[in-house]
Amino acid sequence: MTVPRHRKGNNVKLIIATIKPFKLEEVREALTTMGVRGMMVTEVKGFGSQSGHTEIYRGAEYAVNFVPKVKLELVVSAAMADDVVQTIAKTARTEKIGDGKIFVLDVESALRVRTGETNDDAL
Amino acid sequence: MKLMKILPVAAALMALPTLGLAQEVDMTPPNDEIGYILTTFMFLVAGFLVFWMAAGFTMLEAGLVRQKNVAMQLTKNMGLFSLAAIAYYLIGYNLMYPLGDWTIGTDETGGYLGILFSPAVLEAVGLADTTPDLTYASVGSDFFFQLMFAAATASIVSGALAERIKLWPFLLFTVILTGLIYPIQASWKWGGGFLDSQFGFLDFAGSTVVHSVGGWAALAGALILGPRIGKYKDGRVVPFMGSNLPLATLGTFILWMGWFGFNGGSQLYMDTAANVTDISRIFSNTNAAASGGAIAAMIVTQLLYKKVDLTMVLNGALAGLVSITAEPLTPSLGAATLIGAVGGIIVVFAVPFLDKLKVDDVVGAIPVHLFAGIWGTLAVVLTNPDATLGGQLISIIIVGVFVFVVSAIVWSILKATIGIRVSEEEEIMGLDMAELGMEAYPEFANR
Repeated sequence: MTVPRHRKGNNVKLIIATIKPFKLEEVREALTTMGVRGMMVTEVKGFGSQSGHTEIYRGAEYAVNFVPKVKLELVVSAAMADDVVQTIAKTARTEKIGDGKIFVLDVESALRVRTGETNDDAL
Repeated sequence: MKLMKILPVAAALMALPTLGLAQEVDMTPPNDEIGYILTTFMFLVAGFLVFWMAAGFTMLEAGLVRQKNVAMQLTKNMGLFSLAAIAYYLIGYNLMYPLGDWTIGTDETGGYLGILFSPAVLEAVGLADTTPDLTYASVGSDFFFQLMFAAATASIVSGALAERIKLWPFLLFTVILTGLIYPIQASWKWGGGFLDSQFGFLDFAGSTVVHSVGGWAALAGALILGPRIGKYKDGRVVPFMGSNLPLATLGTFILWMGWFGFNGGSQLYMDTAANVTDISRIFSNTNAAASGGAIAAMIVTQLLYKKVDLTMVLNGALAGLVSITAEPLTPSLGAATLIGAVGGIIVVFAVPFLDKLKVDDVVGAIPVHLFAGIWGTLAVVLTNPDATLGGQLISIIIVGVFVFVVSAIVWSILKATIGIRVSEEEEIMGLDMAELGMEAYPEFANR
């Protein structure tokens, strides 16, 4: 097992994207087609410029500030990152507010638990 | 192989009934037992339908409380029902039905207190050495049927006080409610007591005797227990959404179904064509009232809030059922529907009204059972000429004062001695974790 080289690794990127829930299947399909081999998905609630509204439950008014979204987290090699971002953006876009955002972060190291492979080999 | 040889011989033997048997015994029931048999059977069936309402209440409550408190509601309902069975057997039944043998009062001048601390005793097996009252039904079936009503009363209280009450103090209150409070006031009407004999009070299946009693006990509890943390904030009412609307709806339908036994069985006889026809009328009216209540709630919430509120529709159906419970026999189908509809309208306004008074009733039990129960009791005069407005009103007040005051005393004593409310951290953590150490919907299982 190789010891991970401790440099400011910019060969692995973490991509965090929030998208509208009904777009998940389409985005997953597009990403796996372009070669992405793994991702994590979480149901979240959030708001951005999409404003809230009020509802009534048993006569009491309340504000619905948060809208359900899906958060994707993918770790890909730096070479692939730009393409991944574009694919997600293109597939998830509906041109209505609430389409979401995509962030790219540097990953210091990555490791595959089963084999101990690191960085690019871990992806 | 051997079986194939035996079978034809066995069949031949079975075809000869008298072969090898003792003398023939004529098993046809004597004519004079048929009424007893049918009425007894009716009580058993109606009784287990009312039993099924326990499942209904449980599911309704489970669906309307937040996820972190669901298992606690389930536990409370299992507990209260079982304790009601024991308390009613040990004390309640004979307290409620002294059969003229009053501790205080008489049948003629008014009965006030039935037989104290005397457990119910059923007939001997096979009616050995017993002469049954063939004009009525077995004691066993009467006890079974009435027990379910006592348990139903207790379950009403469970819903209103959810999400912040301690388990055992609540169950202790249940024992006192089903062993003493409920049977005493019920004896005043159904046990032949003074409300029945002196005031001509009419309450067919218990809009007052069961439902308003549950409602008063719940109201006393809600006032003494206090509202949930965060429910009323800065003059606003904060909604706490139910965790499982399918369960709440299922529970409502189950209650609706059980009510056919609740009202139908209260005819108390199924020994003649007239009686069984009355029961069929009661079933239909009961259903009509529930429908009226549900639709009324649907329409009113649509008009008031621009959107139908399912939880109000559920409450509306139940309020309709409570409304017709005092008199499900005499109204026409149309009248029953309207009586139920008024009940449905009442709850839609009563729920936010209670919130305005900062009385925190988690499932709307007080609007459904107390408010609609009072309406249903008064509505008897609309279709039954034997009822008087005065008689109904004074009985509502007497029962109300008795149950509310005694309940308030019991709740206060429990609060002062063992405490009835969980701590703030426990309430925020959720009763499931705090009192039971389990989750109703375990997520992220680590196995």
